[in-house]
Amino acid sequence: MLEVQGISYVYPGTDKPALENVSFKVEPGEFITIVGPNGSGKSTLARHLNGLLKPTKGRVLVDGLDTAREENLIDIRRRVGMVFQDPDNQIIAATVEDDVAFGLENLGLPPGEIRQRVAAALEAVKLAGLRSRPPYGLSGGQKQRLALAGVLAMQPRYLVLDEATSMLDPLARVEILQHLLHFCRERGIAVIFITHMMEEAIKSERMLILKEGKVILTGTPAQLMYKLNEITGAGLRPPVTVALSEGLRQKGIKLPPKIFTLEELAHALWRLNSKK
Amino acid sequence: MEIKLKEVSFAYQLANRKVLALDNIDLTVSAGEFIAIVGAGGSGKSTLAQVLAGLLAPISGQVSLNGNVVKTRNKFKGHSPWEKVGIVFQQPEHQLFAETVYEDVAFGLKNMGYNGAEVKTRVKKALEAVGLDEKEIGYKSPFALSGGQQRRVAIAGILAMEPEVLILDEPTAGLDPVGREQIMELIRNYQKQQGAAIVLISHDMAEVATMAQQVIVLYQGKIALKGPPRDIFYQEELLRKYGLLPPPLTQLMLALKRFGASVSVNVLTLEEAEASIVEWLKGGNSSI
Repeated sequence: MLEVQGISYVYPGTDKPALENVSFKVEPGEFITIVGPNGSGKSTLARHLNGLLKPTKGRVLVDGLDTAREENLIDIRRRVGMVFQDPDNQIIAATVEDDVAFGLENLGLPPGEIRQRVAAALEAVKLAGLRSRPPYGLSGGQKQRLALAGVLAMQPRYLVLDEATSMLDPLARVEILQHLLHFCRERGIAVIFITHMMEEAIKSERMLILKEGKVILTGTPAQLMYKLNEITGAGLRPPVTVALSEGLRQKGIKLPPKIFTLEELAHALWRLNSKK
Repeated sequence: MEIKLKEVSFAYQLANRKVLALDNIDLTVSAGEFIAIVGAGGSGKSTLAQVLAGLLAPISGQVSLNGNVVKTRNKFKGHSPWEKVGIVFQQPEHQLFAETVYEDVAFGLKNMGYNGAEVKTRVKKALEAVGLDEKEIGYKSPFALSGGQQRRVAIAGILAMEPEVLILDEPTAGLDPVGREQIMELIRNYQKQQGAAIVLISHDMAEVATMAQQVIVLYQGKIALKGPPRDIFYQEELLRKYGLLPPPLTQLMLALKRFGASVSVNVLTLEEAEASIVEWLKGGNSSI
């Protein structure tokens, strides 16, 4: 289990905390989303999950290991994989395949195992076709996928994705997220997905909304998607399906409550039509 | 200002082979137009933007400005017709470098030979156009600003040169909803006030649907589809083939249509979708 216990963080030289009393837990195999606008503390929080930053107050435990203890960090970073928005900083090797294998070789795994893991990871992000290409010739989205593959291959127990799919085109984003979640579910890897788009939380089991370093809401997507005042007040926007459903309700269309996926909305509207 | 590409192709040298990135592109950008370029990763969007901006020389075909065939920017010494074409790169805030916001925005202008009062006026105006106050922010280090503000400062540096064609490569990528709205607003205003042509590269189809007059879909370096967003975005099968998806609202309308609802699939805004659904449900049109 990954436990964040009442953490606060103040960047050196500032006095306003970037995080204030944040707590939550992530179980193995869970998929949670953290949503917040730029400057809400999302990336600061992400950097606490593998000990890149140490909380000023409170603590972070990864399977019981405290991130504040230097001697735990190697073990913690094997358990918590991180992918950031900017893939250029995370790519090192001469070919796509070597880049994914890099971390595995450092773990001292047997060559057969390395080949298998590299293949599965490239498959999960749909980059298998480009395995012998040099990374510098890849598009921004392809580089993001490569960075993802590199972390997947390490098979962490917790995968933190900090706006790690922001450069993908719409279809690739849907497909890759699907593959990635499947990959993680099969292996019991927890996914902590960080974004500023409410839409992207729709498929997660739980979500947290951050505003100015504090968790202002936590719950299932069904519980939170209609907290319109809080969502807008945090500088976010509800999914377009929610905005449309609300607009229709105001025009006297009697939609059932809590609709937030496209499929649900289409079905609900069609049922209303059949009842006419 | 008009930019015209005629049968333009471009290839990258990758290790020991050439990869064709643009394949026989014909495209005209005329004054006042708003064109969006969309396409899956690696379809050639950014390459096309750089050819349009005079930064890359095609391996075949012609680029002309106002009817005159021209070479790339770097082949001109001193003033060049490319000064009227501005490009905002992906994550332009990475290129901020000066000690103050003012100096950063003024940099391009000074390179163009402007000085004194003209620079001051233009910097102030450009910062205003991106929603920032020169008095309040001009003396600050650009690195002390938030990500969204940095992006706007970088865009102001291009606006200060008052381009007649403004090309933007994913200007909202990585920004939160409020940041996105601010950028879209400032692009819209710039077009209105200057009568400029806008070329927007975006992977946000909802954004494109509400902003662009023309959409160009690139696929493997070729123009696969071209037309107003209303004529493009309901073609789900084709879009999928090209690695794209319709905007969410269009996806909803298409799903309803498949059920047999008599709704419009050509909607671009929330209001249009709402109106079409209400009309259908209240039985204005005969249901199928």
